[in-house]
Amino acid sequence: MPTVPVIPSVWPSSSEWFFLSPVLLMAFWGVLVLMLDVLVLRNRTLLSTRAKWLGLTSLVGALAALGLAVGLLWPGVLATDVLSANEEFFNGTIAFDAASALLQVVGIGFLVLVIGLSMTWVFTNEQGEYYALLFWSAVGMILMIEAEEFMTLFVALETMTISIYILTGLETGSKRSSEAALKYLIYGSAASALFLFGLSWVYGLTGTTRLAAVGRALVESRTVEGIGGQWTSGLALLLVLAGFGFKVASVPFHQWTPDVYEGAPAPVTAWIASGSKFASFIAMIKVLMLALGTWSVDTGHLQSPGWVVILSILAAVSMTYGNLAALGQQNFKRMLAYSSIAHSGYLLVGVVAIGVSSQRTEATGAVLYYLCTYGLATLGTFAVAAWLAHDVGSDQIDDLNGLGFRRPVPAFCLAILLLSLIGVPPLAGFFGKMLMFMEALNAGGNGGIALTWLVVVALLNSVVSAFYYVRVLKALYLRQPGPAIGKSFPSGVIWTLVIAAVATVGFGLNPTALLDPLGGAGISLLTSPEPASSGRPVDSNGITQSATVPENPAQTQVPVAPAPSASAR
Amino acid sequence: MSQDVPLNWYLIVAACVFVIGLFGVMTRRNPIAVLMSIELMLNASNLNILAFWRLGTPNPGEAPLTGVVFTALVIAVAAAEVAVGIALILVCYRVWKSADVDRYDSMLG
Amino acid sequence: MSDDLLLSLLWMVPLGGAVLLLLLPRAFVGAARMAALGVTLCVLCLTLIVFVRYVSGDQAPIHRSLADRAADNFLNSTNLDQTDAFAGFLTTDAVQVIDAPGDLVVRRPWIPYFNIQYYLGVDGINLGLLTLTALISVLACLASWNMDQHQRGYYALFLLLQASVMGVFLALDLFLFFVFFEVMLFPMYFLIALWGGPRREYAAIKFLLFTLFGSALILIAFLILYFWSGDASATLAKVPFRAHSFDAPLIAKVTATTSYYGPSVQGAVFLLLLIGFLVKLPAFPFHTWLPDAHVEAPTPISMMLAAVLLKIGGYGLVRMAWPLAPAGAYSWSMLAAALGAISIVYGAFAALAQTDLKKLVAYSSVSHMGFITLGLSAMGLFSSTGDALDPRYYAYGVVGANYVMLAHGITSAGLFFLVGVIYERTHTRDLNALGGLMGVMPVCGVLGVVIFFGSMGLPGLCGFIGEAFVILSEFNHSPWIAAVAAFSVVLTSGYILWAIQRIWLGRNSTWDGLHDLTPREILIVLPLAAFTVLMGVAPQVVLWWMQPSVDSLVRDLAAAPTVRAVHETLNGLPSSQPVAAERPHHAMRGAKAPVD
Repeated sequence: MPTVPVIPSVWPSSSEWFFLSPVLLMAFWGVLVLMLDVLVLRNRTLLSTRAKWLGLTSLVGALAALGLAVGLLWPGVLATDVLSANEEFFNGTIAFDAASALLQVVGIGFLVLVIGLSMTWVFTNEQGEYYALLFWSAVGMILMIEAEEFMTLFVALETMTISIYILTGLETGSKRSSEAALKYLIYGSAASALFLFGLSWVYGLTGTTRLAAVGRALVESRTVEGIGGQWTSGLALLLVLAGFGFKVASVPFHQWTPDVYEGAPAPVTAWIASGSKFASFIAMIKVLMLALGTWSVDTGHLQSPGWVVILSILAAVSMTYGNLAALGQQNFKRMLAYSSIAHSGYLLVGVVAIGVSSQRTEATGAVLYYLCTYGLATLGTFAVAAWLAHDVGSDQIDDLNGLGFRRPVPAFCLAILLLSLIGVPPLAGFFGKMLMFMEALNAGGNGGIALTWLVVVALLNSVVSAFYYVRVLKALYLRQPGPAIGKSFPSGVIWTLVIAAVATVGFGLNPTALLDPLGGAGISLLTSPEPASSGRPVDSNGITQSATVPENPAQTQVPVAPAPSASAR
Repeated sequence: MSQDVPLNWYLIVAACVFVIGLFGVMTRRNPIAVLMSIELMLNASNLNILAFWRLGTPNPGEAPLTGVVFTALVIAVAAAEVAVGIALILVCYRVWKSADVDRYDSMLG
Repeated sequence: MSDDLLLSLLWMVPLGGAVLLLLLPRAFVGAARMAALGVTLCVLCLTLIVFVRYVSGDQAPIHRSLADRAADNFLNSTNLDQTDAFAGFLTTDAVQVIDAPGDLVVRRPWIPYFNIQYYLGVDGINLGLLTLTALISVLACLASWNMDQHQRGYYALFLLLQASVMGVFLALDLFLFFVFFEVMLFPMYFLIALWGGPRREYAAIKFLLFTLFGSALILIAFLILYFWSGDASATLAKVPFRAHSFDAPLIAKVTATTSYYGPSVQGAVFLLLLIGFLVKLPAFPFHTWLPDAHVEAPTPISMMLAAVLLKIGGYGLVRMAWPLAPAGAYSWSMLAAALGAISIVYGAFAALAQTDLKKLVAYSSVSHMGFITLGLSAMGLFSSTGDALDPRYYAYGVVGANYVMLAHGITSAGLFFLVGVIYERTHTRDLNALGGLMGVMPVCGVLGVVIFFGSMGLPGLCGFIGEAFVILSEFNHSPWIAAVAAFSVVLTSGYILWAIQRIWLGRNSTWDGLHDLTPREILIVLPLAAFTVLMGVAPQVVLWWMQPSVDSLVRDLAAAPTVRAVHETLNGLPSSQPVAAERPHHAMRGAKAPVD
């Protein structure tokens, strides 16, 4: 039995609870909505009335959480200004920094729009469960962004994904919805298992689950010797990448994407494409940079190339596959699913750029910028899909025919979003791509030469993508409207579209407005936080001191070198 | 301590279980069997984590119960996953009257 | 009016007009065309103000090169103690704008982090194109008078197109240029796809994909220029140059005076830019979208496409491809010249074979655009013994290319308008069905023949001057290619004269009773015919303000050390001056303030 060190856990301070208040509120609000449905409304009111009240309650809750999250940014609300802080909360499981604070605002913002979208029509009898699960998946999402530690990360990720499995299958009476949910669950849990097995190896090799400590252990090569040689590191890396690859829908882990995007109710698809992808990419960046940064290139500890090379190849394949497969699609949601695979490819170029760029925080800022603007654009496009499902009862591209003449404002907004997805200047999608690609080229040394091919592939892919996005534009403006189109446009759809379009144009014309704060978030995302300065016994490693150094005669004693300070990264 | 089963043995068993699970996920067509295989994979990870916690070198300053807590959390997550999985399989079974993932084909492409 | 405002208004006025038209209440849709005409007239006035300001006075910009004027307008880093004009170019720190009024250069930071500027400027090369754009826009707007389908949308897109084209011609920052270049695609796409002929969608998507493909190559070239880490010893006005700039005049200055960008990277950049802009021009292997787009586009859009949009390709070559990569241009000059000559001959042969009048004019555009490539690539800078020749001979070629752009802008707009007029009256564009129109429509016939002859290159009309200059210059570079290009004169006369014969001459009672040009139509054709004659009789009207800018461009190209290095390598001559080997140096990383 290893010597038992002093138990370092400390009951979180009030400021820590306060920092977590948006998440706690959402978790609570999920229960509240569920209880409201089950105890008060169900069997007493009509489904439509019930849906309306539950939707409104949820919207209020989400807006309150958004208000809290924004309020936390205000200087003076917390004891420490969160935007300049770089600490870890809850015994080192949650990061208290600009990245957490800003990105949770974005995440909750997505949730607000998704709830607005869900209120446009009643697609499920399980209204209470639907909104509760939306809240809980948002809780998982935000904790995933904030996690500083593998256990928290895994549980948060599973909270998010399991909630989304159910959400996918909630559409009443839809064959496709249940099929999509089952497929999502099977692929998803298999990917989680792969991911977890990878994590177990990372834990075994380093003896810790904290991202920063894993990073330090790997830097100092403090890996456990004698358990199968170096190929275990390579295996662990591949498994972790497989897990993330599934979450972000990159080839070859993309098979679930088209079916789930097509089968899930449109607001849920919007939530998967914006929120889930947003959180997964951020968690991926955190894990790869903070914990597995040393494995970005093969330093002799991997029996495989580092993740920079692996991700470059995945990026190139994902965007090429996604774009080519999208060319042939007739179903609007399915086309967007393939385009989402392609966009994962572009984003992976950004992740690679973070790994190689000489300005990592700026590269991170660029990826975050792309994630935010892409998330908004996707929400807007899926809002149209939601409207199609509601108004026309179908989701073919042809159903959009003539929308430009019947409903000029939503059609114009959709056109802007599609142009931004192609990457036409001066819209936000263009700047996002441009900034990421420029950072990929910004690598010092030979990296720049090596990644030029990737940027060239990405740019040519943008040209290909124009082909299928323009097909939608053609439907909007070049076709005669069908009889059914444009009967009504629910305000949830209009709001989402207008907000997304305005943000796309605004952040396109003035990218710095979004880039500056996100660049700040990038800094804190890439630096491992310090333990909260609440008077705990800490040593210079930033780790709570244990009473005795663990001894284990069965193992080689590894000398403990003083860890480099976090800011050296 | 020295009488303990060596760490490598645990790891080899875990790897075998994991590979069996992976093989099952890829070859079985019955969704229940697939779920069981996924359980195998998750439990292989649990075995790994516990073995590492018990016999590996902890990082200096690491909390004492990391491995146990991690495993407990994984067990809870796995249970949730299975619960949801069985529910979804039932839904699909009612629609298709079949427990074969290849039959579920309302979407193509 | 400060020149900041003046130059910005050139693209902002049409953009604002487009937005206003979209917001126009449904009740006033009838006023859309008046509003659009008003906006285009307003832009024309602004352009004329710019023109007058450029050419008049002792301190007028005509006397100073663009690079010198740009150096007066700089972004000075407040953190640096540099008083040198170029210091401001090279930093991304907080900047303070130093503005020299009245020299028609605008410079403001836009995205400071990537050193991207809002950077506009006018010199003799783009002044003519700006004026042309403003003029043709007014005429095209008049030509769209009978357009009655979705008027608001049509005129809004039209003005958006004008705004982006003005922006392309004005922008001196590569990034800004690219933004305008891309923005232009979508109004054009919709203008063809919504208001075009029967195969409009095919033509529009073809146009879009070709141009997007070209623009991807252009963007790659810009990014290579931005990120290249070349010769570390290169300095510009004593400040070490470290790339990370989208500033076109600055990069042109660097390539003209240093060997920071070595010959091989310049070769790559040049090829990318050449292909990118040749798609737009269009030249021989990349021209296939043009006949489709022209045939399907409505008349006013054909006018804009031929007169203005094709010139963006030419302008890109003059402003970007050659100055930013002179050594690349020099080493590939034979290829470029050959592509130019092939375009000329191929376009002419293809035009001979057409029976569709609009296709004939479209292929004649391909043929004429070949002269631009040919004129620019006539880089006879060295004699056979390796001595530097007087760059004047090359300057003829560049002047010729620029002149062809303006002349073709005038004549092709006229031709497409007349084709539209004829089609509107006879409902056919089949050359075999037409004929005998001179008797029915004498005014149209006379004006048309003038413009057709102008396009043919009849001495005394505008087409002749530019083409003569180009061929003259090309003889100094490669007599064989020049001979091939000169041979095309026969072909051009062939298809033009044959077309005139088949349209206007003879007798054909089918067309009796067609009415001649209306006053509005005369108002459109007359200025074009007048310019055709004026620019042919008195080329000095254009040359006196165009020449100084072209001369300074050519001087820089001829003086570039890398061009000499390429020449010496190609001919196995001993190196006269050490050109540092290209080696990407690893010491320099990042875009941040290389001067500190």
